[in-house]
Amino acid sequence: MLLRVMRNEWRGLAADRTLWAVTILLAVVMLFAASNGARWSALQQERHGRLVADQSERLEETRDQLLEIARGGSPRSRFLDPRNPAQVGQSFAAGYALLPPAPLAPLSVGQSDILPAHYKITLESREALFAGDELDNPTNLLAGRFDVAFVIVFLYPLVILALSYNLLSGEKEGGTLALALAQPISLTRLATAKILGCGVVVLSLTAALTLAATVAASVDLGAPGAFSSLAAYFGITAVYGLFWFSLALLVNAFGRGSATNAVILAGAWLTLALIVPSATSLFAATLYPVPSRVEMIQSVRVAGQEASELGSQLLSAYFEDHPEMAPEGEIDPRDYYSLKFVMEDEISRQIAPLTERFEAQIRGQQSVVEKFRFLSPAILAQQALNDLSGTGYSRFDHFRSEAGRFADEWKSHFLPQIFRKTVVTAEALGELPRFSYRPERPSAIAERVGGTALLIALSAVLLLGTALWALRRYPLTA
Amino acid sequence: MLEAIGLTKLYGSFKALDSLDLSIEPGQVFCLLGANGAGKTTTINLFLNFIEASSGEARVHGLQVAENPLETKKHLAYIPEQVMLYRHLTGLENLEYFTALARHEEYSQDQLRRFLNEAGISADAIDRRVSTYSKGMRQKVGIAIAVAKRAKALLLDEPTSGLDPKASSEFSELLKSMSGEGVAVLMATHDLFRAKETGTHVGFMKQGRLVARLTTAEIGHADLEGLYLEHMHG
Ligand SMILES: Nc1ncnc2c1ncn2[C@@H]1O[C@H](COP(=O)(O)OP(=O)(O)O)[C@@H](O)[C@H]1O
Ligand SMILES: [Mg+2]
Repeated sequence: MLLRVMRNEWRGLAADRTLWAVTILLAVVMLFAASNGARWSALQQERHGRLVADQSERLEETRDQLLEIARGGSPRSRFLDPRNPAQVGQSFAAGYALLPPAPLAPLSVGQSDILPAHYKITLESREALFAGDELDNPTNLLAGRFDVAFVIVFLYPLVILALSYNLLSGEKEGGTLALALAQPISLTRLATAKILGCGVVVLSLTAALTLAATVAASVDLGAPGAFSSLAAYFGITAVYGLFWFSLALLVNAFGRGSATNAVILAGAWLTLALIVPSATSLFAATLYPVPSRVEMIQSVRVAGQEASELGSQLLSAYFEDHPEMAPEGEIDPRDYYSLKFVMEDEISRQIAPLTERFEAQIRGQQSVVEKFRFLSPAILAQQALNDLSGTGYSRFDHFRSEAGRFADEWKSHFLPQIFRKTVVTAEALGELPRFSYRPERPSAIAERVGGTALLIALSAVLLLGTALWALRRYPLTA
Repeated sequence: MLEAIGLTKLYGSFKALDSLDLSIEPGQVFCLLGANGAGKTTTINLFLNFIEASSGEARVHGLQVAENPLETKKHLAYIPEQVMLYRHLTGLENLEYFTALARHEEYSQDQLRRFLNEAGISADAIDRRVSTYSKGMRQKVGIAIAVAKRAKALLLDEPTSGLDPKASSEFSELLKSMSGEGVAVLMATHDLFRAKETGTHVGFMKQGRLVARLTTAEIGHADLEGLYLEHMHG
């Protein structure tokens, strides 16, 4: 019986031009989105490739110079000496912390266009390192880029609504509803079967096109985790679709005409997919304004001036605090590099409150988003899809702390050498700390995505339940 | 087969149907006559459970409609003023779908064709899309659905209004043959001539009340119109 109604729904859809128009549109848009995402990904990878090449080239050259000097040559530049650990740590060997793209990255640009996927690790203070971040608006919930996630979060609901806004009103206006309900089938069952029929079509269409987009964007499905992420991608698409279908059913259950339903649903889409996310972003940014970059750079400068005025006082204070770092024998209070990095340390201390405030504000913004995301399934879906593509806020946040961890490691490798005026050799270059990204626990991602999926599913089920309940009072006549 | 006991429908304080008592036995054709707004459609909708009774009950085959909406619909067939079918499907496909909904999936394509044929749909029309059908043809598909469903009771709401005399007479013939096979028929109509022709009983309805009922055998043809006018405007 269910299958009968579903099959009838399919014939109806097939006979209707809307489905074909929607299919073509969705296909074009999906492929465009895929090529967009692929281009963005390629750009990122190219940039990473250049950085890696740049770094190994620099290391190679430094090693050559060191070998040359060991054979009795002299440094190539009067001002740049590869034997000086301060210069090696600051520029000769300065490396990059790179966030490797996740396999599904081409499907969702997410936050990857506003949050950095690489940091140059030098001996500068950690704050100066991150002050170069584009601090723009990490809660920007409206995907600015036209990627596959955008199609699913924003356009796919429109497809669903276009095919289901008149799910019942259409048959009522066409007169077939009365004839169908004169048969021993309840309205609830009929409506459920129709939704199922329509849902199967839309979901398989979208899944097929997403798969095509994945292939077109040359995602490597053999990469570890890629397949399960894609499966989860489909899962999110399914529950997110269920939400919009349930909404369409609910609006139909009020028994209004098709035209009214269309207007109500268009309004709902506008509200849930556009207005709530932008209002949430705006609200978060207003409630927790982030200190501007100018302010950040200004503070670094002021702290720098204060530190340089303190000068050699800083150095002795530093060695009192860190006796393990102190060189053996005399401390030269005018040693340029020792002073410089002690000053950097002082700058860090000075601007720490600002950095903390910055981080607190970002956390505040995220907490607003966390609170308000319940209001919009579009926010939830976008978050989940970003998470699955490895372009969500959490992953970048994790990467930032990974980079910070590496910066500390880098510093503690070089600082004792600087203070002790150790001479860097070619062998020592081979023993530099290397950044290796420690990914988040897969279970952490799964929990996040699963939690979000559950929220979407809950709201969908709530709507569906209300719709089925409202159907019992469906006005069949008049 | 069809039974109304004190059946009443209120819209606010307005009585669309006022304590209707009615019983239609197998083979009987009860024609409900009355002006627009008299409560005829309301009566039929109550039997279909399309609307909820305010008091009293409607029964089909001894079962209370409100409590057994699905079970009672197995016995009912419904032909509205306009039988509306899926326009993109053929007559055959429509019949197939609606009989499937009625849980009669036992028919072969040939049997379904025969139902349509017996209802007066020509062989070449059977495989044409319903969007090309005239109203008369769609009403006949309605009959075919009722027959295929083996309905025990037939509810018709002005089924012949707007049909030309030939189509209307063919339709009446189909009705007669169904009632001949023991189907109970309740038909709302304005067509006094058809009522006399096909009906076994007539009832006059006025402002929600059934004000008179007669068997057609009791009255001559000319009398029906007189009686009607007398009851409606008297
Ligand atoms: N949903 C409704 N709300 C209010 N009044 C209604 C509704 N449906 C029908 N009516 C009123 O009930 C009365 C009986 O209507 P109906 O049974 O359709 O008459 P008819 O005999 O012409 O078929 C009419 O006066 C109509 O206006
Ligand atoms: Mg009527």
